[in-house]
Amino acid sequence: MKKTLLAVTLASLFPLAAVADVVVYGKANVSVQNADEAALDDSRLEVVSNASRIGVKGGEDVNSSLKVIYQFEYQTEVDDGRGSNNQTFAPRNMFLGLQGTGGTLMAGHFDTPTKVLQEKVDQFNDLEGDINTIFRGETRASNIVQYTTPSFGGGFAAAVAYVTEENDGTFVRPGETTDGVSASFAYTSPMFYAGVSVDRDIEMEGADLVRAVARLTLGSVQLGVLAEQYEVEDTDIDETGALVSALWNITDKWALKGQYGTSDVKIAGVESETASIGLDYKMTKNATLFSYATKVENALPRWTETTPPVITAGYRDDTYVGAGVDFKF
Amino acid sequence: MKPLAILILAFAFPVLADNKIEEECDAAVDAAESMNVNRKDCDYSDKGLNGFLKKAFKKGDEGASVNTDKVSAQANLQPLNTQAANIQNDTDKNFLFRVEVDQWANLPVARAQLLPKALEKCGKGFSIIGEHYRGLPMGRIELALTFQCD
Repeated sequence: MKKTLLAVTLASLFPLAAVADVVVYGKANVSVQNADEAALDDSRLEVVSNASRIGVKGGEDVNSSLKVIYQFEYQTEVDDGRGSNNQTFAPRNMFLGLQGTGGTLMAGHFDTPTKVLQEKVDQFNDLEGDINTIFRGETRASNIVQYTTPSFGGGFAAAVAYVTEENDGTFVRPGETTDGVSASFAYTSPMFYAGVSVDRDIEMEGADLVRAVARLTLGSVQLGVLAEQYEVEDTDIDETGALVSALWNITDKWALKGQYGTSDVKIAGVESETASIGLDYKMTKNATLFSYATKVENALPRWTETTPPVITAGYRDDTYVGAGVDFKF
Repeated sequence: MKPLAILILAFAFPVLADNKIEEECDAAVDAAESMNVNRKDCDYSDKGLNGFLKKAFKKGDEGASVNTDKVSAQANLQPLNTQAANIQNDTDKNFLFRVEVDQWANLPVARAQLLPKALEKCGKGFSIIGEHYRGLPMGRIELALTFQCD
């Protein structure tokens, strides 16, 4: 009797219970490139793994209006098997969350709303031409809690993330440790995307960052723009930067892309530039052959005023030319 | 910079009103990277690694077990159930052989090996009235030939 009562009670609590939904996914992205880097004062041939990864994600319905969601994603270096700190699998976005009609609440180790805001504007994401060469705000934070609104008004959504003061070694902020907030507001549609975000104390106490992004897709052409402002309280640091990108799907198989950005944000008071062009050939839906040429440079002095002079740390006048394969599975 | 952000948004929003396009499902890895929890749920159960795992571990006639041994053309000559193969009731005249190979290059040999067996079964002669290829897990290929005896 008691067991029957318990079963009825549980059934009423979970009326539409629970079909587990697990997706295993990943991608291997490997290229061979000639790297002509100022820091090496030489050029060399390299095999590079560009954020190859494997992950699982999924969810389970608690009831008709609430779902548990999760994601565990790890990066692995296909070229030599060793990532940072010699980790075979380095954590990427990982979270556990609750998703309901009122929005999604999740916690873990994942990209801040500002990092996510770039969407598909960065045409050379994870390659040498990645926007992180000239911008800040590309933060994957540990100990982060985020609330995301449901999509409303036909594609609007907002997200607010709180990065706790806890610093357990997985994410070390420079300067004094403090908590921080990252928030974004965006409109998403297949044809048009735009958004703004603000980071407060995410990189360090007193650091404020504003990012604005827009993408427009017109037929076979996709245009993107990203702009940033970065300032630090009680200092003279107040820098800006901008990047434009374009993608032209010449045919179903071939795509030509390029982007250019200039910014003082990465190194305060020092202009950094990145320019890339690329040609992709889509072999199958999941396999793409890609090629690229990227130039990254900044206005730091090449040599320090020491005896003997050495190349200034952070100085870049680098050129990369490469080709590779991206395979999603 | 803040005025620039406002300008971008103000300039862009009027463009979007008429441009509702049905969102397609990206690859699962792209969907995960977007960190967009408001994306519609896509079914990846038959795609990529999930599709492979589903087929590999599915039991029964619809699936196939993962066999790590090399599959030779000679090893899998199996006459199929004629009813399941939807062949006409004249089971003496019509029959079906199938063979599995581990790569496309082995198919011609495997196919040729079916022919004398068909002749042996028919006695006089035969026609090939159906020829069907099917992809299997681990990159294997199944060839099914439907024969009709003279």
